[in-house]
Amino acid sequence: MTVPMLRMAGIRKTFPGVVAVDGVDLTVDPGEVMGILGENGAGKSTLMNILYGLYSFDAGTIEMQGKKVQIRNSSDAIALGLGMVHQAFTLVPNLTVMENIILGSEPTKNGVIDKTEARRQVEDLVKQVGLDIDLDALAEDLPTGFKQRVEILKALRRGAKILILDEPTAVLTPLEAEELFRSIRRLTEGGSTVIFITHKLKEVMANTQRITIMRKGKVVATLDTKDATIDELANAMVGRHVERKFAFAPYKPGEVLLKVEKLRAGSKHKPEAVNDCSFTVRAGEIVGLAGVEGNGQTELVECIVGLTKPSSGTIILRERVTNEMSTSEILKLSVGHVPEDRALNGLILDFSIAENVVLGAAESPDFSRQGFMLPKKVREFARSVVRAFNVSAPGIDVKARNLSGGNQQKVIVGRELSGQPHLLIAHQPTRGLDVASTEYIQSLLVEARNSGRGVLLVSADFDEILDLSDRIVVLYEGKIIGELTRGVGIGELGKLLGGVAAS
Amino acid sequence: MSRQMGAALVGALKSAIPSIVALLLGLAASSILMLAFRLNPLEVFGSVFVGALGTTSGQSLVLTYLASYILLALAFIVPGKAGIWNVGGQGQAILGGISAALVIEFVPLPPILWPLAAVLVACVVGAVWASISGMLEAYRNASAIVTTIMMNFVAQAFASFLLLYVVAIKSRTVSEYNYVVFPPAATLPTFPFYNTSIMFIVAILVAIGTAFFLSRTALGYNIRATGLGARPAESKGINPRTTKVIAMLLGGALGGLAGAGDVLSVGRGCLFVACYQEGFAGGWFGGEGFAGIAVALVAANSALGSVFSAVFFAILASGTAAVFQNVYVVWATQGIIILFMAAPYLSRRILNAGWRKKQWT
Repeated sequence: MTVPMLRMAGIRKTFPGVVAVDGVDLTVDPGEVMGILGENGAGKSTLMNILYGLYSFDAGTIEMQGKKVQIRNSSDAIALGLGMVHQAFTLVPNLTVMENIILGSEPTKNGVIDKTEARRQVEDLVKQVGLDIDLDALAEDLPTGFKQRVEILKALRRGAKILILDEPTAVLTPLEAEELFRSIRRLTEGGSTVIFITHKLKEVMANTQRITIMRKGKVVATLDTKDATIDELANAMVGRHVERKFAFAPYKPGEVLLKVEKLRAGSKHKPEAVNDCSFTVRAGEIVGLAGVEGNGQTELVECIVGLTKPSSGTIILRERVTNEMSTSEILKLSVGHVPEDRALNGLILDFSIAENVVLGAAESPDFSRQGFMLPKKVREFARSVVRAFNVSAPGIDVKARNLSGGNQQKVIVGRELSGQPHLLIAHQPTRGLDVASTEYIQSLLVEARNSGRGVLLVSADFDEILDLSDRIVVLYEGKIIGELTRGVGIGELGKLLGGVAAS
Repeated sequence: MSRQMGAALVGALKSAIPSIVALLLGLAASSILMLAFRLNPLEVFGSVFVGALGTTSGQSLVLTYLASYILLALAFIVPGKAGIWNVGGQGQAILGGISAALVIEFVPLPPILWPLAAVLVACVVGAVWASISGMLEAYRNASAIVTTIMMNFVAQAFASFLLLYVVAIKSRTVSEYNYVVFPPAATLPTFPFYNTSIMFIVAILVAIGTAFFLSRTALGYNIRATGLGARPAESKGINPRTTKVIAMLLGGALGGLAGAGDVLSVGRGCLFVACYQEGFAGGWFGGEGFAGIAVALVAANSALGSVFSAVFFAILASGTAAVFQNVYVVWATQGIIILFMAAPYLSRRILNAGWRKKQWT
């Protein structure tokens, strides 16, 4: 038996209130490609950041080649031969590829950078590992795949024997991803060891020797890739789901409230984030839009509520095409929106509860006459929201900043549901909330559905999706790649989330 | 209701504390500066105080400055509430002032209507001028701090052109302008017993109106929402771009009003060219535009608070005339106070180290 290249044992890391990594054991053999598979929040990135010295850890040991090591910071990690490539690159845009590679470990002669020596070293390295690149190109001019390659070369030049890649394909086109895996194979043939983090099932099946699956901070399985099946991986990743009981009225979907057809939309950075996406939401149902984060959810919701304009396709809200409508026109079609990230998009933190509940409604006749606010009405409404939605706060003049996350979210959900919307779009409505607040918000969504409203629940938390949704549509790379009905084909969910379409 | 008002008053006083501390720190620091130059700070401040408040002419000048300072502070505060920095009060006031003067020079109207029309035109010109920077920031991502400052120079140059080539050619020579007195029917009513117009009362009323506008109207609410949280506001259908432009229109109108008030005030009308000539040289009027920002900062961007901080700055400015040989010392004092205002955390830390916000669960 060979000595493992790396052994992590009993690693535990807690953040205030959360156990991020809970007694994890991980062994990586020399020259292998190890895939670490798991969903958002499974702890995979935390584990790798611990290994690379970016986080301290509470318990456990790390051994390299049989020797116990101390990794207190990333310089320790680099000295031990670890290299990490993060999702966000750290290249200096206006330096050349070569300059970026030697940055921080420049060969010098008489205190000046020795450019000929540097070039020789870098050229040798490039030849040795077979990662072809134009050394004189400016980093900013490189396509994403090549930027990543520079990052890898940088790590290798600093003597990395174990290369950690955090979601390396998240930013790549499929062709670039293939190219990356070819490079990885070349590296391992040359003796390097590679650990890469992903949630994509096919990728991990095609490109690793072994797979470690994490869920909720724990390792649930470590498999040899050749013995693994996609179903097995999907199930291990999602885990057995214990359904919580909500008081669901019989499922009787009504009129179509929202119809998204062949929608293409995106942001400046990701113009194709939503790519040919189609689905519907009807009255009296909760449609769970499931998906690993970063698959276009944010851009999709922003487009539906009119914050961005679609580049093609149609959005039909209550039989009106809303492609060209402004946000306020769309919300007036009786749409409630609980935005992703309550502190950033949902509330004005320096406004009081009273001011926040009338956000966007200042001009409505309920709260103003001829442009003059009616403070009594505003306060009355704020009090009714606080009462009806169990917001615990000393008064309605408390700033939103001083509320707990759960109470902030109750203010938002209360504000949105008080408008009696036909359609409620809830984007990550319970992220980061305590158990009691989570259940309360979820029960409000169920209540809304029971009273005949349509709910589009966008969430990366499958338990939430599985508990609440009458139907589940799975978003993968901007597209709906599958649809499931409550209790039917749940086994498929893990596969769909990992990008394997239902056969 | 009365409890609510009491609480609001206590809150207002509390929020004024950092400003007062900054003022005191500023005065202390400038005293040290004076000592370094072998001046007795008590003497300097005493003569500033006596100069400003001891004579009718000093008091008149305080009231005249008060009007400009309040309005120029408001010109900064209203866009500021929408999250946009209007550093162009100076340019807006210059263009407002000169357009008011042009109305009086070229468009004779019946008594009451005449100054009113001049004021109105000044507001519109100021608003349009400011909205250019507003639109550049809202739709083209060009920071208004930069564009408003740069447009101050354009405004000055343009006003200079109008004065020298349009107004002068039409009637008088430039040197004659130093002695021009606008017809009484065209100027604003005099405030009894003082050599100033009622403009400072107008300014105080406008400050009260602005405070009401910001806290009690739907538009004022939307402006504040945009400034404190453009993203949540936008996701609830408030268009942050149009709101910013509207706030700049209002700020520019206030700047224009300040300029018109200055020009149409008794005792200033005849000085109007003189003050613009100074302004072109980067002196007097220009100082007022920027002093407005200082007034607003010391008032912690409160419309009502700006009245009080404007009184302080007006006394300082008027009294400067009395201690003419030490005028730079007084200016330095202004600058030092602004420095202390610009570092609000410093005063806050001095107030109470380790101040913590309560979390409600």
